[in-house]
Amino acid sequence: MSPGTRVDSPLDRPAAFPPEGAARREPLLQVRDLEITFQVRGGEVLANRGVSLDVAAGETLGLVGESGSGKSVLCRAVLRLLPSPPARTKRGRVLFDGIDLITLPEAKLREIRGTDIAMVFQNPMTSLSPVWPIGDQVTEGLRIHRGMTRSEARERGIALLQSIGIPEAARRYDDHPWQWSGGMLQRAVIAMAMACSPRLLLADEPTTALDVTIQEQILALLTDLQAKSGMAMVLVSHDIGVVAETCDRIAVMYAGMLVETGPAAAVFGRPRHPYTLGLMRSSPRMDAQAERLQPIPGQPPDLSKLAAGCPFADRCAFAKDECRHALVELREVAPGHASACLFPEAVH
Amino acid sequence: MPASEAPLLAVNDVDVRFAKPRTFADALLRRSPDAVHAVASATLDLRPRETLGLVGESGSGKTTLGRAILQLHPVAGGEIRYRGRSVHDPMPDWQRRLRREMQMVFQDPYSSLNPRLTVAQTLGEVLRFHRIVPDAGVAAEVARLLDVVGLPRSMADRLPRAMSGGQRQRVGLARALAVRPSLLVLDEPVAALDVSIQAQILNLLADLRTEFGLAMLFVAHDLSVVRHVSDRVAVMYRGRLVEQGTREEIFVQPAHPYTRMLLAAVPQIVARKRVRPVQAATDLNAAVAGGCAFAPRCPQAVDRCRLEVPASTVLSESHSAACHFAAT
Ligand SMILES: Nc1ncnc2c1ncn2[C@@H]1O[C@H](COP(=O)(O)OP(=O)(O)OP(=O)(O)O)[C@@H](O)[C@H]1O
Ligand SMILES: Nc1ncnc2c1ncn2[C@@H]1O[C@H](COP(=O)(O)OP(=O)(O)O)[C@@H](O)[C@H]1O
Ligand code: SF4
Ligand code: SF4
Ligand SMILES: [Mg+2]
Ligand SMILES: [Mg+2]
Repeated sequence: MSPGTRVDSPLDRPAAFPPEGAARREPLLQVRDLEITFQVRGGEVLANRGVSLDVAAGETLGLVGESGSGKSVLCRAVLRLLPSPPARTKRGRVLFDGIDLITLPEAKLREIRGTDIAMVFQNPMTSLSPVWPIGDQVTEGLRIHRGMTRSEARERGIALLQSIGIPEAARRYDDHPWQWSGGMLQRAVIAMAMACSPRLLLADEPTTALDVTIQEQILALLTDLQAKSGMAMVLVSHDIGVVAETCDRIAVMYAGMLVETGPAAAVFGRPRHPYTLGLMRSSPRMDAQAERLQPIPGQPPDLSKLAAGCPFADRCAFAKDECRHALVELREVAPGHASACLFPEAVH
Repeated sequence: MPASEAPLLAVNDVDVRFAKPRTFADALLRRSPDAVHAVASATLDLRPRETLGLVGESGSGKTTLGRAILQLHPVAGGEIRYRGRSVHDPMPDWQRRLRREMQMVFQDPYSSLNPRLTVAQTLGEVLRFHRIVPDAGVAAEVARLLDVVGLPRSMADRLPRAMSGGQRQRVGLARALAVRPSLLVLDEPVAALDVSIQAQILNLLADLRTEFGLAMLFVAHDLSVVRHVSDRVAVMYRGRLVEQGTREEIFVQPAHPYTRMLLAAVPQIVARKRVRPVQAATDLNAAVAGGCAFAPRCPQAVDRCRLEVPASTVLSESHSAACHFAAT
């Protein structure tokens, strides 16, 4: 295939999407007041503090925040993949299509993992074994969960590899991971995630380790698969450019809390939390004058020593005394747009 | 930048090769591994007080070229001159002077510092080794260096593990600045940092450059960062410098298709979703048969590109690109 060739996807679903009345339906994923802690020497790390969010079928939610803010913990908590101990779910619910995943028996959850909900990690080798042919690994779920024979799985697997843009898929089905570059392996992992047609894909920094040109290819692929299959997607990134270009709605995370949520256009067009504004102003841009950057002063707080009040107060240019009194909850500032700041109108 | 000023650093037609490790496939086929051409005929200049950004994908040879300049890798061909004199010149004391005047700052502030030494010990060691100040003045000089990189003096007794990534990167900078260098080679100095901390370090670098008149070779894969810090930019692809120019030339009138591809891929903080065409996977491991190394990915490639290696076309006094169609 030459560069720019369009790839046909066997995942195309003829049914019109989104279905009529999609906006009124229950969200596919509902996280409510989730609190996750880690027991560490000398205390407790508060990695998720009362996180609530919704993701609807056909929607892409961008989860953005700096390292250590709790993005991966949130994704792993949804699938109950956190090591426990040290992790503990102290409060909250995770509803997938109305089923509470926090209390679901492990055997039932195992059926959902990899079929209805799939996850893609930053490093493709998290999901791949170095010693098995790539094609067999991509189709493992089809053999286990869908009861396909090896030859049925192979046929479907070749189609999948083609659909994610692997040239000469039939010949490369039996390749081992060391024969593929990082971007190709990430495509294979995406094919593996898509094999059982998941209804929700959690993509945790899927392009962070890749070059910008390869990142662009992977984001295009994810967007295309998502649009064609109608699945819901959570795209985690520390890069606000990546989520701005790819997502419908945005959730900004800081110190274990969601501090701003809303449609991408609203959140980046008129941010209502000082942290979101700070992230935007400290990012070097291609479209602005190459002037001096405006960094956020200081560093994020230590999650095992959180003080009362707004966790951003020590770094915030808009902080007042009352910011340090009590935790600020997410409150709606415009339809569908919420901020956990006491003074959302002052932010500019 | 006045072109008349003599370059501080001149890299001329430099090659660096690695012996390829013997792979499993090599063993099966009983063949001996050939050499990897990590850098091929690289030519660039750096003038005093100038920042040259060096960009390219992973594995393109940026780090290798930076290390070759500091003689951390032997060169297989070509020549590197500093202040007009070959870095291999046998002049007495020349090597010691080079080791002082050219400093490297690494991407990973975690692994580039000795974990058992406090900040004061790390800086003190360098100050004593190069006899920058008399022994009695070391403590005062450490305090001054901490001020310069914006660390509280109370950090002097900290070990690296008790510091954040941004703080460690400041220590890395302080260590490089301790010997009062003229040239810094910075290899992805902000890639491991979060944007809010990255911005702090980028502003600090801009200040240091003005204050101490440093020349910098700034290696990065992030084009928006490079645009922010560089006077001139060099673009590397598979071991070759494929385009060089001033910041404006590279970002406003890029002449090489690879530079244009890199620029188009940078994610922007736009307020609307961007729809991008799905493309076939790029196999970055694939061998290049001959001709232009970029041809397998180039949207403009024609038959000639697969046969003939493009020479560098001069587009202006400061701008050149290695593409058959750079001038059109
Ligand atoms: N010690 C080594 N032995 C063998 N090959 C090496 C060695 N170091 C680097 N290479 C090879 O040389 C080429 C250039 O590598 P280099 O590290 O300079 O790339 P880079 O542009 O700095 O990439 P990155 O963006 O990933 O840091 C690559 O093909 C790499 O695999
Ligand atoms: N297994 C663990 N044990 C202890 N602390 C952990 C563990 N995993 C994550 N954490 C802590 O939880 C917080 C959030 O981490 P994470 O979700 O990985 O951040 P992000 O993905 O946003 O970079 C961090 O303070 C991190 O150190
Ligand atoms: S609540 Fe106060 S401290 Fe927190 S972000 Fe808003 S203004 Fe700043
Ligand atoms: S020489 Fe040909 S293949 Fe190479 S960059 Fe130019 S147009 Fe593309
Ligand atoms: Mg993470
Ligand atoms: Mg490198």
